[in-house]
Amino acid sequence: MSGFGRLVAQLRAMSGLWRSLFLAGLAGLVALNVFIHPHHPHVEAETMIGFWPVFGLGVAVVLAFVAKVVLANVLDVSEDFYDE
Amino acid sequence: MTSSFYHPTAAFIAMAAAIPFFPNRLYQAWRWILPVPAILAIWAVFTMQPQAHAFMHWMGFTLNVGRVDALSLVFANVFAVQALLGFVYALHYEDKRQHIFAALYVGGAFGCVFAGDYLTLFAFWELQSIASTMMILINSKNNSKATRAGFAYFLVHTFGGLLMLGGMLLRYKALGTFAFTAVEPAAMQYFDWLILFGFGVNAAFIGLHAWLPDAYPEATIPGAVFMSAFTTKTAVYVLARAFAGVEFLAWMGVAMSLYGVIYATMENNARRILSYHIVSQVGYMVAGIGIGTAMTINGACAHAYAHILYKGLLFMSVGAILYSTGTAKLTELGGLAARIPWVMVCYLVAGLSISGMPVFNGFVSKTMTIAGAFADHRPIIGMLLEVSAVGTFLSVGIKLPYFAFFGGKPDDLTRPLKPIPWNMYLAMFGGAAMCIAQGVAPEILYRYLPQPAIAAEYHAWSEWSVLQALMLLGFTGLAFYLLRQLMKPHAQRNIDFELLYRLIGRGVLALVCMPIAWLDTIWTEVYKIVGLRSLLGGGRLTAWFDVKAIDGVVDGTAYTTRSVGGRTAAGQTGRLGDYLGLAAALAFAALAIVFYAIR
Repeated sequence: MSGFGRLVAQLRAMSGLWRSLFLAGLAGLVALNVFIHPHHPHVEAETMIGFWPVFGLGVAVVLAFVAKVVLANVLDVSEDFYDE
Repeated sequence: MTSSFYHPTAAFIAMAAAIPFFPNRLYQAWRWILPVPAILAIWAVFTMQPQAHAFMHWMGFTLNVGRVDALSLVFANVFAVQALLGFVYALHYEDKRQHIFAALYVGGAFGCVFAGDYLTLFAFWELQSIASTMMILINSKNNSKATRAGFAYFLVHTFGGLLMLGGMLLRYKALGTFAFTAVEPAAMQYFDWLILFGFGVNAAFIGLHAWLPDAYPEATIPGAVFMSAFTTKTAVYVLARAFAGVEFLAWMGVAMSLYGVIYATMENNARRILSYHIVSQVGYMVAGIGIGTAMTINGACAHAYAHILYKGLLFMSVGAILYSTGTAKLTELGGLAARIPWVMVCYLVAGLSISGMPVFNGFVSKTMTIAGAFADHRPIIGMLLEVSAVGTFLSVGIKLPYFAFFGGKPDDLTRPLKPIPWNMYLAMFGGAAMCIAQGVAPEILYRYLPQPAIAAEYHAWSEWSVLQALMLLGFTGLAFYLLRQLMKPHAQRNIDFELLYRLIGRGVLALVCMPIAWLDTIWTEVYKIVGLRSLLGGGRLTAWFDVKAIDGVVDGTAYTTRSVGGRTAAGQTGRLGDYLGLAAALAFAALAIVFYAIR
């Protein structure tokens, strides 16, 4: 393993710290949204604090369920489907 | 051809023609010529002056092989850069065929970009199609699926080429010109639609797209890097050239952007995931072209430029994983972060670029198209493109690298890894540097756009744009974190339009075969009743003739010969007196005949 590889392994071992930083960062972004608004909102909802966080979270959850729970079960075939 | 115009295609084709004569054993020496045509192309494109024509005459037609303007230059610019990265990435690859077909392929792309008429465009279009097919087929030795994928790829592109050919010939009949110019969206004729769908095959319109995720994962590793850059983006260029402002494209683009991310979220093979993301990202460009404002056309071109760089980098990174581990299936990967950390870094740069994260080039290109859609009062299109942005980050920005490099598994210290050649790293670092440079300083990219003045008015790096992007992507990341068990890949592929292609193929085969089978049945009956009986009758007659006539003559001759022989043998007494008596009798008989005759 290279020196950089060892560094990555050490950073990876601190997953709890990264998770805390990530969640703190998200909270910080929402806090910034209180002060920063679009000058020319594309849609009216954009002026609401937290619109894009809710949009991102909501769309990602819906997409994940639609793709992985619904469609993946309907369209699923083996990886060698056309070779069989 | 005008003397001042150097066509970048020339050196690529010359190199493709020369490589077969280079000895394999000296590959390490002659491989250094591989990047030369790309370097010449970069020099040419950066020094090229806009011009309307560079003529060639062929069979009574005047071909315009060198139309150079802002639109063609922006595509030629990134084609040249990516060609250099691609050939550097492929330097270790000793199969001559890869380099020959890559050179022809890239040469074809340049030919399309500078084509001023449909005949020239069609010729280079087909060159590109054949060369890219070969980059799949030459992988057959290593990948049993490549033959079928290459054949299907060729059939679909032949279909697209025929649509284009039919459209351009009908257009010539109606308008009397092969000039490759913009179509007035409100006055689209049937032949224009044929051409549009011919382009649409290469652009991977929904329904015509299934060749892409089927073919690219089966190509050679460097082949997929080249193909990710040129085929669909050449199609984007020709759509922007001819069909800007066609409403159909705006909605087709949105559909492509959504369709691609949904399939990418489900797939397991990393190269299939990236292929679906080509469909999705080209959707942004097609949507921008369809909306047709100066800002969205700029956005489409900027995104094409950025996309070629980051998508090339994505395929290079995943190609490096495949090269090193022997697999691109996420279910078989994981725990590689510490083993191939630089590959991970390069992948993350590309993954964040495609997701539109600030600092990376997707942020300054994708947002331009979306902002252009909103500015043109198309909030539904704008919001749906934002939905796609979420899906992009979810699948290729997080899911793929997470399961490839981490996957909840400990560092994999035992898996044997093939060392990745330096040239692959060099190409990846080059691509990553360009993704970051354009993201940090967007004017590097914007000055090449068709409407640079409009582009200069767009400020991607506003406080709100950065915050909006970070919130959108950050909370998408949170969703992944919460749903990471659900997002876990499974060893599966998902039925797409390729099944429809096969059903259509079987239907056509049945349509052809059924009447032939019916005719064959009828003919068999007729033959049994008429032909067979006649044949048997003829056979009996022949047998009878054989027995009675042939055998009779032959046997009769034999019997007669035997009988004469017997009698002659009986006459040969061996007594000299008998012979003299017989000779005298014969002599007298002969004399009697002579006297009788002369009397």
